[in-house]
Amino acid sequence: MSQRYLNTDQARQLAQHWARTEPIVRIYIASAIGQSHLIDDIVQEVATIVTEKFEDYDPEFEFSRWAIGIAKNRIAKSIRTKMRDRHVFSSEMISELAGVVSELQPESDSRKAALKDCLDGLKGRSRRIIEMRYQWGKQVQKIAEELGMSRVAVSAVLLRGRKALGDCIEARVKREDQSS
Amino acid sequence: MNNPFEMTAAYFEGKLNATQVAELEAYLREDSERAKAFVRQAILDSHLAELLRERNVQDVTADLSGDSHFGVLLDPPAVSKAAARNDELPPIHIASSDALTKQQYLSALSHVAKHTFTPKRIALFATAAALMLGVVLAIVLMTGPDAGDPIAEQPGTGFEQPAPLPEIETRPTVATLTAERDAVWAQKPGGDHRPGALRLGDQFKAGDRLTLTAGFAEITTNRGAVAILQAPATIELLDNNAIRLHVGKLVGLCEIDSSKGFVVKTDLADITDIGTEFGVDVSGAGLTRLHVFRGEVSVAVKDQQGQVGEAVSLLIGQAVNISADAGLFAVALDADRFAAQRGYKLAGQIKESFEQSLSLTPGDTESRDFMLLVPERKSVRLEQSLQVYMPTDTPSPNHQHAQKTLDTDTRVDSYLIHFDSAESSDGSEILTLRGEVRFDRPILGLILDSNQLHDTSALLGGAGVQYASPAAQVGTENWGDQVTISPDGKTLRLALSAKLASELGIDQVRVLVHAE
Repeated sequence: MSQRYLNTDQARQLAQHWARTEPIVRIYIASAIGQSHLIDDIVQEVATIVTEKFEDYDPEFEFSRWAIGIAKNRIAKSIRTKMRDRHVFSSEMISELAGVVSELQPESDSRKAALKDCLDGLKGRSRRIIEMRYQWGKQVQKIAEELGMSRVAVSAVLLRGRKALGDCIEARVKREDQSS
Repeated sequence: MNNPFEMTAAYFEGKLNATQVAELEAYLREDSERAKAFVRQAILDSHLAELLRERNVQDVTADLSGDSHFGVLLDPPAVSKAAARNDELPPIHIASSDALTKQQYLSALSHVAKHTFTPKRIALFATAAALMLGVVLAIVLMTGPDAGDPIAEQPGTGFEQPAPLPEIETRPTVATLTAERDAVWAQKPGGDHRPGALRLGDQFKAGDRLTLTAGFAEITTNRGAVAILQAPATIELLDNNAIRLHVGKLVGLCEIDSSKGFVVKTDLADITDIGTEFGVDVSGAGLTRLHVFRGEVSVAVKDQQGQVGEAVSLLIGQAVNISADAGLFAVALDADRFAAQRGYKLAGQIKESFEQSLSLTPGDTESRDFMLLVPERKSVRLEQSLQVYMPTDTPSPNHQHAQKTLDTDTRVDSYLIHFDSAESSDGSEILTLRGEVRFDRPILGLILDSNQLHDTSALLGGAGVQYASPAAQVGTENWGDQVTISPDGKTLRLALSAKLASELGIDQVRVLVHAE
C-alpha cells in the first residue's frame, strides 16, 4: 500500500498557515465557549482536519477563514456531545462570532504589541495576580488561598487589571492610528 | 443588564446561567461594536497568556544548555532535566529526524495545538512545542530539492520524499502487537500514526490509529485483553484496556483477570467484556454486530447525541445487531462471521460448540446431523514430550498413521472433535458424518486413542467442560473412522461413522496446533 506524504510545498504552506492561524482559532473557540479544557481538544480536531483536507484547500480562500469555519463545526459538535452542563451561546451567535473574529484578526498583532508595553506599566498586586492567573494558570481559588484573600477579592483585582490593560491597549491603538 | 465587562469575564469563566447567557447574547447582537469588544476581551486573555509565558520561557531556557534552543530541543536529557523541575510537565521523547509523513506532520501540529497555550502548561513545554514548529519551518524552508537532498523527488514512487521532522511523543504506551498473519498495514489520511510494516512486539500509544488492509493481527492491551483483527479493519487505541473499532471485525478475548472490563467502542455502542470471548463487526453501513462466544458481555447503546444508555447483558450464544435507526435487536449467532479470526473455519457436518458449561458424557450431545468442535485450552506448554498421530495425506484407517513426538516446552492450542450419534430403531444403520476444519496454522498432531484422550483432558481440556469418565470408550475406531490432514498441514478432514444402536461409544479427536 502506498504511503501518502505531504510534499515539500504543502508542508511549508501548511506550517506557515497553521503557525499564523492557530492562535486566532483558539481565540475563536474561547469566545464561543469560554475557558474550557475542550479548547485544546477542539484545536486539535481542527488541526487534524486541516491536515487531512489540506490537499483540498483552495489557496484562493483565506486559510484562517477556512480553519475558523472548521472550528465552528467542531464547536457545534462539542456543545452537542460534551457541554451539556455548561450554558453557551446559541449556534447563530457562535456563527456571528466567527465573522467577528475573522474581521478582528488583522489587528491582533498590533494589539499584542500594545499589550506588551501596557503590561510593563502594570504594577503591584494586580500585576502579581495577573501573572498567577495567566502565566502559571492558577485558578482563582488557588490564588486566593496563596495570597490570603477572598475569592471575590481576587476576581475583582483580576477584573480591574484586565480592564486597565484593555483601556491602555485602546488608548495606544488609537494614538497609533492617529499618528499614521 | 449588569456590567457587560463583568458578564463577559463571567462567560469566559463558565459562570453564567442560561438566562444570563441569553441576556449577554442579546446585548452583543444589538450592536456589532459590542460583539467586537467581546471578542477583544478573548484576544486580550489569549495575548496575556502568550506574553507572560514567553517571559517564563526566557527564564527557563536561560537556565538550560546555554542559549541554544535547538540544543534544548535535540538534547533529551536537557529536556528531561527541565521537565523534572515541574511535575506538571509530561515526559518528552524526541526521536531522531525521520521521514515526515502526513500523519507525523499532523501529530506534530496537533501536539503544538494541544500544548502551546494551554493555561496549565508550563513554559518549557510550550517552548518545546513552539520551537518544534520553528524547527519544522526551518528545516522545510532551508532545504531545497537539490541533489542529495532528502526532499528530492524519488523517481517512480509518485510521491515526493518528505522533509525531515523531529518527532515528539508524549502519549502512554497502551498495547502491543503480539501476533500477525499476512498482515498488511495501511497509512491513510484518517489519522494513522504508524507508517510501514509493523513488527511483532511493536508497542502502540493511546490515540494510535491502525488500519489493517490484509491478513490478521493480534493486539494485546497492557491489561492483557486480546483483540484479534481481521482485515479490513481500522481501530484506535484508547487506553490500556479500551479500543475503538471504526470499521471491520474484531474478536475480543479476556482470559486473565486483569483484562476484565476490556471495552470496545463503536459509533453505536460501548461493549464491555466481563471475562469471555466475543466478536464485533462494524460495517461501513452503520451497523454493529455483536456475537458472544463465551461468558458474558455488557453492551450499552448510544443515542443519536452519542450518549451511552443503560447497559444490557448478553450471554454465551447470544448475538445482536445495533443500528442507528432500530437500536439493538437480537439475531441468530453466526459463528462463521468470526470463524477466521478464531483460528479456523468449519465446513460440512461440523459445528462449533459455544456452550460455556458443556457436558461431553455419553448421551448429552447426541446428534444425527453434526459433529462438534470444542475449543479447548490455548497456549498450553507441554511439560513433557507427547506422542501424537500425523495422518498421511491419503485416507487410511485409524492407528495406521505415522506417529511423531512433540517436544517438551512446545506450546499448543487444543481443539476436540466430538461425535455422539443419536440412537435409531434400526440397529443395523451406520451413520457417517463428514466435515473439515481449516486451521490458520499447521496442525502439530492428533490424539486419537481413547486412553490418551482421557489422559490429556486434564492438561488440554477446556475449562467448564465435563468429559466422559475414563470408563467410556472415546476416540476413533479402526473399522470405519477416517481422519486425514491436507498436504499443507492445515486442514483436518473427517469421516466419522457410528453404528446407531451400538454402545461402541463416542468418536473423539483431539487436535493440537501451534500456539501463536
